[in-house]
Amino acid sequence: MTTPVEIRLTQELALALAALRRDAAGGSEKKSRSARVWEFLQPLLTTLIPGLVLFLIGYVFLDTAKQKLEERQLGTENAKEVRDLVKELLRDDIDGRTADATALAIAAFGRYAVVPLVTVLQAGGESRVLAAEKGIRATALLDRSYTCGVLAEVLDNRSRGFTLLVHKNVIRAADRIGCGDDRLRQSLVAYRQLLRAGDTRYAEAVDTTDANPGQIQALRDDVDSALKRLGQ
Amino acid sequence: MPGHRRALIALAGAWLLLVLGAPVARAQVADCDQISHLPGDKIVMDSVKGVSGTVSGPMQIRLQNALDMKLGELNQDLKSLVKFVFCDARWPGSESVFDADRSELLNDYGVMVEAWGELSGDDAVLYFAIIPVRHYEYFKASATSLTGYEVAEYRAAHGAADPDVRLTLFGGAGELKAMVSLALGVAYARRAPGEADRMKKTNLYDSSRAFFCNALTLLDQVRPKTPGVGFSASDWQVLVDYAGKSAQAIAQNARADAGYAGLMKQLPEEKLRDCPKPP
Repeated sequence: MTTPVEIRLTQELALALAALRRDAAGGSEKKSRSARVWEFLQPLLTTLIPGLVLFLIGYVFLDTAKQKLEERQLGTENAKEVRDLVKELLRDDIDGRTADATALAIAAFGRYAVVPLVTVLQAGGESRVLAAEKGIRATALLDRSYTCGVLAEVLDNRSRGFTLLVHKNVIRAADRIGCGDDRLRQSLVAYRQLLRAGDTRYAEAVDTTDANPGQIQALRDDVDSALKRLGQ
Repeated sequence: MPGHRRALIALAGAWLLLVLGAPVARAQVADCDQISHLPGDKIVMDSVKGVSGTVSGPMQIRLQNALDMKLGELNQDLKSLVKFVFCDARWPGSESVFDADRSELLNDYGVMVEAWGELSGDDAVLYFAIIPVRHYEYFKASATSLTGYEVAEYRAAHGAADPDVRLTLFGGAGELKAMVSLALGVAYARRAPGEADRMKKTNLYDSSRAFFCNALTLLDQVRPKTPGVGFSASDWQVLVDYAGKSAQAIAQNARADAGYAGLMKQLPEEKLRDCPKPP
């Protein structure tokens, strides 16, 4: 025969079991809800993510390509504009004021202007050379590191591609611009070594036609003072 | 070209003109291709300009011809040393045109003297830019009294009223000869130390001294006697002092240079203090 105590214990046990079952049933209900959300999202994401990645890659690629194309287009247009201005600067009867104004207009094209202006230095002509140097200094206000890089390239030329006077103007321009980067300093140090190697060795590397001994000496002084100012 | 790009470039150009505007306003001299393309040392003769309405056409032509003729004579004297370049379209107009950059460039091109003239009524003025002096002394050595820019006046009110006298004075080129000699002295003095060849070096030193001494003699011939005719007395004195000191200095430099093998090394120092008197 069952005692009242046993009956109460059995009832309490039954209640506890029921509570446990309820808890267990609730948990599984929650899990199945997130699983359902995941099941819903998974195919969507699987489809979307590769597309999204592809879209992003495509966007970046297209943007870069478009930028490059625009740059090239800009370069071509600039080349045409610069060509007309260079033609003006190379005019035989140009005066100092027009030459200065034209060279500064060329300089406004930034990096596109540096090489044409260096070429004008090579062409010679008093007002033209003075104007071209001002132009080169002006391009440095827009793109200093590029301008200094081109000047270093000109100084590094050892195939008699430039005259002593062009190098002199380039050194003066670099000095006035304040091209203090390593690239130009290295070029100046190498140039000083070339000047110290003797007139014959120098004449093999740089066009010294029409140069006199005083000019080579003056160039040595120019290089030394430029190196001093730009920090050796 | 799109409008906004053109505007941007114009804006950048305007800014650059503003930043580097000062030198633009000064440079007004026309290019003369022979200055940069003709190798060797040269004398540049620009135009003689008549102030409009004050000089008759024939008079201007007479004065220009007289000057050209005398330059021709000078050319005969100096043709192995310098070339004459005539730049008719060029008229520098003022001292400020010969700024430091232009003077250095002209010096690099081997320009010794650039001369131009101005006629106004009965007055004639000759202007000289002695390029090596202006570059080395005025700009590099900051010698303020020695500008390398000289003015020789031939003013009618001061004794040059007779057109023929003026013609002789203006065309006499006495001042020009002295300036050329002085310029060559300076240029050779600067070249001598850098010359590697012993014989050439010796020749440069000797020639430099000879040019300075010759400049002294020529300057003595154009000593200002009447104000308003020729150089001003103060400018003349500065030039004489400079030529004398330079003749002395070049002798010392030559003696100190191991590569020099000329007479100046053998002569006693006191004999080199003054230039030999012309016969």
